[in-house]
Amino acid sequence: MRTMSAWARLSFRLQRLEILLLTAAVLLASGLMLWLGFQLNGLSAAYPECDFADPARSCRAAGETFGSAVGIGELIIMSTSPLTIGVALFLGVPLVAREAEQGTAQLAWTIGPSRVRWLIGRVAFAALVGVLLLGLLAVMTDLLAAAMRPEINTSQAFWFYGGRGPLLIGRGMLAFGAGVLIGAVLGKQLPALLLAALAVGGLTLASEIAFGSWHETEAVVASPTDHLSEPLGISSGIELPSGERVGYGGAEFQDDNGDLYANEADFLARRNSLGREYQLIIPGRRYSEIVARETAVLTGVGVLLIGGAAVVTSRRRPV
Amino acid sequence: MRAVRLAWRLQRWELASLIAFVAAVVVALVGIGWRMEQIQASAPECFGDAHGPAGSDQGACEASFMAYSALQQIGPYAAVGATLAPFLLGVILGPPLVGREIEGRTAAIAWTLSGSRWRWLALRAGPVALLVLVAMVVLGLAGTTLAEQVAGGEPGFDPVVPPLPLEVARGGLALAIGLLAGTLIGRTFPAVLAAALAIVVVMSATSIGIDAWMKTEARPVPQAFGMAGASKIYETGLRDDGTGDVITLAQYYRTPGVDDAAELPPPGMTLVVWVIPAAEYPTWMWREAGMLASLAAAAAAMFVVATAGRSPGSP
Repeated sequence: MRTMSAWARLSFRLQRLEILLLTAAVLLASGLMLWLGFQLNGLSAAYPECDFADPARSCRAAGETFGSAVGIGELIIMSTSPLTIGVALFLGVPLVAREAEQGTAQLAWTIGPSRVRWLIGRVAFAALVGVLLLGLLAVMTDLLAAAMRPEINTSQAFWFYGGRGPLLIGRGMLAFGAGVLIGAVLGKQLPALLLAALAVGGLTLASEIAFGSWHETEAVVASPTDHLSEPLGISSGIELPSGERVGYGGAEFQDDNGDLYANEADFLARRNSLGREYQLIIPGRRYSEIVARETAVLTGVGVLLIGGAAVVTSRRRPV
Repeated sequence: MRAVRLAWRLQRWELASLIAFVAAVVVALVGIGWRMEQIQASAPECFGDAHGPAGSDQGACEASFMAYSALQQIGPYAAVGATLAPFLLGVILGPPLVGREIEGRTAAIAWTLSGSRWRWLALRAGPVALLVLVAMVVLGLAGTTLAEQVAGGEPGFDPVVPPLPLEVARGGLALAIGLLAGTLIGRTFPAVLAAALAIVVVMSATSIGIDAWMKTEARPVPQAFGMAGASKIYETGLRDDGTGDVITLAQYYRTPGVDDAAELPPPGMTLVVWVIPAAEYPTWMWREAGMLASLAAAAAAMFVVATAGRSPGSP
């Protein structure tokens, strides 16, 4: 117990300022989200008869207040993603880089039983702080999102997919791993921070592409009511009479049955239909499952990157 | 020249990365703007005015339209780089200037060898401040053509690329806050984080303050008034044609006896909106630039005072 306490105290002291500043920023953002969530829930409770998405005249004043609060909420949720990456990088990059840059690595690595054990001790504390801070952001973004869309169940909807909830923790852990690895390779904090930010941008783009391909293999044809639960749109186009699916190219007119026509004359005569419109989606009810899966994959990649940092640390020169 | 060489040596990695970043953004801004201008010049009959062709054959113009529209959509992505640049330069270049000397315990010797702290400060901060200024001016100028092309040559709020005065003021403020954070904290990495947070808070507060100021100066004008796109519109209301009194829609619907279902505007009233016309954007842009420049001057003064009074040896 005493060893754990000493480990936590020492680890905190080494990154005290960063942890305090990041905690202040996360608490400020969380406080804002909580306050806004209360405002929105209060408005929804006070005007149960109003549909704020399309307010009747008697609801217009409340609707305007609700709408402007939702606008602020969207801005806050969008700002959470850079904050998530910032938390992860500022905790991860200096773990090895600072010791190497300041010339204290030699001493630290000599005192401990092994460099890898030293790194595990350092990474574990920073990761714990990171998960706590990102976990708070994940909970608050989910609460705010639910308050912003009272008419849907946001735990079963892809609304603000990727910008809220546990995926923030997954993305943060990926960035944390990249930060630790690049810090270990470069051994200089500021250049490592810049390069890590660039690498995280690349990794995020790569993960979007990979997950997008994965989603395509699981997509189903949308039913008429699926749009109510904010599904994840995958693709859409024309389904030819042969069953082949193609893009919208050449389709200019659509009738009430969803049939598409190349020109106005065909449309008016209802002849030579090109085919029917189709939409491939992942239904909103699969939101939790998809988010859990992607969070696990991103966290796993982050752990692999930390493994890479352990290899680099065990082999690199201390200065 | 010696000061420039020293600045380069001390922050080589950071300077090289940031110069590469700024150069890439400038090339993208100029390239996209130039290409858009070229497409317009090669098919002038297709681009009668900012919004479409001047009675020309739509089919013949389709290729030009598609190429132009693709660039019009890519342009704002390149412009994000110009918006981020002042922030990045200030956060990365400012804090290490004094912070690294204190952290590495070389401040005492550097300040003594230079004869005075002022001289040292001028030699160290001068080249970096000059670089930031040049980068901001180049970015501001590089975005001019693109901004004109994307916005169709009309002035207005929410410009695609930050105008030159705003870019320079933001760069100056970010650098001054970065320098101040480095001096106060005395450790580079935490100072970078503190500077980043402080810049976000100060710039957001300025933006909210300007918006609140604009709201107080917005004027009610009939809704039919040409207020397309780039004007700042705040609220909708009604003006009594007889008395000239103006009330907001919310106030109107709270009036006893008002028929919720009746068409707007009711007889004897005109629908109005509180607006700041797009043509007034330059005035507000200069006001915001002035506010940011004043804050930058205050932060720079605090930095100088903090450096003069700081103990060189204790982070």
